[in-house]
Amino acid sequence: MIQIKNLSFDYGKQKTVFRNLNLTLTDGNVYGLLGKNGAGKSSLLRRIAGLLFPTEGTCTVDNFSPQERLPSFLQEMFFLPEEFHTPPVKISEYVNTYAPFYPNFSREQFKDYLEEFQLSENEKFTELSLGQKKKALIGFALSTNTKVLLMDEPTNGLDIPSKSQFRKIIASVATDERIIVISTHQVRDLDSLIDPIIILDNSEVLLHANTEEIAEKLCFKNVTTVTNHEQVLYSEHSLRGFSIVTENTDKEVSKTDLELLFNATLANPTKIKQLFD
Amino acid sequence: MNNSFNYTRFSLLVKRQWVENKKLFLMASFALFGLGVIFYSLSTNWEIGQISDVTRPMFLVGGLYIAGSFFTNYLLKDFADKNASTNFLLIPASHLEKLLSVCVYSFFAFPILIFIIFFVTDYFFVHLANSVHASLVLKNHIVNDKSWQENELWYKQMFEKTDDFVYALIGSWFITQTFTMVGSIMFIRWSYIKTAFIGFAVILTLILCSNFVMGLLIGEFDRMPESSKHGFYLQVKPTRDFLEMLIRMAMKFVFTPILLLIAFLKLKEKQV
Repeated sequence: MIQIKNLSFDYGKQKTVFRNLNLTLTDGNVYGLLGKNGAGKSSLLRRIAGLLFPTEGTCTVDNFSPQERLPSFLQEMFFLPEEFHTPPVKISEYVNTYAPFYPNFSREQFKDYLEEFQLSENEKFTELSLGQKKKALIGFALSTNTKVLLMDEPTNGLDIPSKSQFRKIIASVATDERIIVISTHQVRDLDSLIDPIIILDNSEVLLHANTEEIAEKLCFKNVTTVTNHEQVLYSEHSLRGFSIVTENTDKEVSKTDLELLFNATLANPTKIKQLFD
Repeated sequence: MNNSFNYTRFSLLVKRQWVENKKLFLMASFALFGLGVIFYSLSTNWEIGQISDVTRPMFLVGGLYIAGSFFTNYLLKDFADKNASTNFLLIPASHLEKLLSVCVYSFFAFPILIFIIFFVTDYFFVHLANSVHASLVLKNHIVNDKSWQENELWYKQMFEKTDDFVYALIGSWFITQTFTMVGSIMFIRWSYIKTAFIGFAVILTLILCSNFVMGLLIGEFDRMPESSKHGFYLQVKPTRDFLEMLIRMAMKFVFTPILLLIAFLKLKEKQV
């Protein structure tokens, strides 16, 4: 479990990233961390990974304090940053060097992922494209079988087939013991994979709810004209008229549209917070 | 689980350095050897087959200090790049293991390499210069050339040096290496230049202030101390030699552990 209490973090006096942030992430979920550029998604992930220290408050990951970066914590946590480093070695050498640090690393799993992504262990990182490097590292990250897996914009740089492969693989590794946190601003890439959803903006959490709860409280639909303006939380032009988000007062069943949800939350933060508090 | 030190993790870190940098290490070794050959070629008077005894140790000392600090900076190059730093800091090993894995290369592997390169180059050139002289003697029918002394392997001369010289060399070299480590961890960009600049500034300050500080210290201690309640006097009069001895002792045993501790703490506090 990841527990964040009254966390404050800033980059100097000028830029506050979080103020009194409270968040609890429980095992067995694939969390989607959404937010605009600069909302603090990456900073939050870095904080959970122990790469950044808070100015106030605490963050614990399975009773570990991440900033101590103890080996027993690090071997159960893998963080895949958006921009990553790969040494100038073959994939097989990379695995031989780094895998022994992770006690639950599965070589078989890694081979399967490489096969899925059409990569060979004999390829050198220097000869791979950015997307291929990312695929190799995603394969490695998933094969470590750590309890906590943090991924910052994992689908950036992946081609369309790889994005669907990624979704398939993530769905297959999500277990009851594992916490996966994926930060993204490309919500369509991870539609139907991430649940619960966390939306960050202006140094705070605007929404933290699972898709069931969202579908219960909000209704997503396409209409030709927008009539009931008071109930509409957000609307945007679509091919068939308007896509709207309303309060689900009539208990209608609708599929959660992550992009609409995200836009609605940013457009109407107070109302959304009221609904989900 | 031991979160401070585990031999398996430590050896994996040592292996990691080798796997990721072996090509560069080998290329650097050949480059150093090449530099040694050039240096010795220029230090040898080929007309009489005599190698300068003054310039020979300069190659060893220069190699140890300049190449050594470059090498240590290179070992910690990950801190010059945010992504590489992230990768390094998140390797499941303790900060102590990470620092010690750098020390293995910086304190042991590198000096062994530089000594091997130096002694091989020295051996090769000493024999070459001596044979050049021997052929000159034969060619010109010179008997008892007193102006010429046979070139001796430098390691023989090194062991004839006083203990203080060797200890001072070793002590200040360890300080340079650990100082470079601290700078490489602290600074992100231009870490070598920034560290070198601070290092030179510290040395310059010490040189400029040493006389003044010593004068002050000796001056203060020179005064007779007050009597104790038991009625006897403590007479302390440190001399310049005594203070210099203290500095030498600190150079040998104190500064390196302190700088290592600072490097360790900086590594622990490192944020990216």
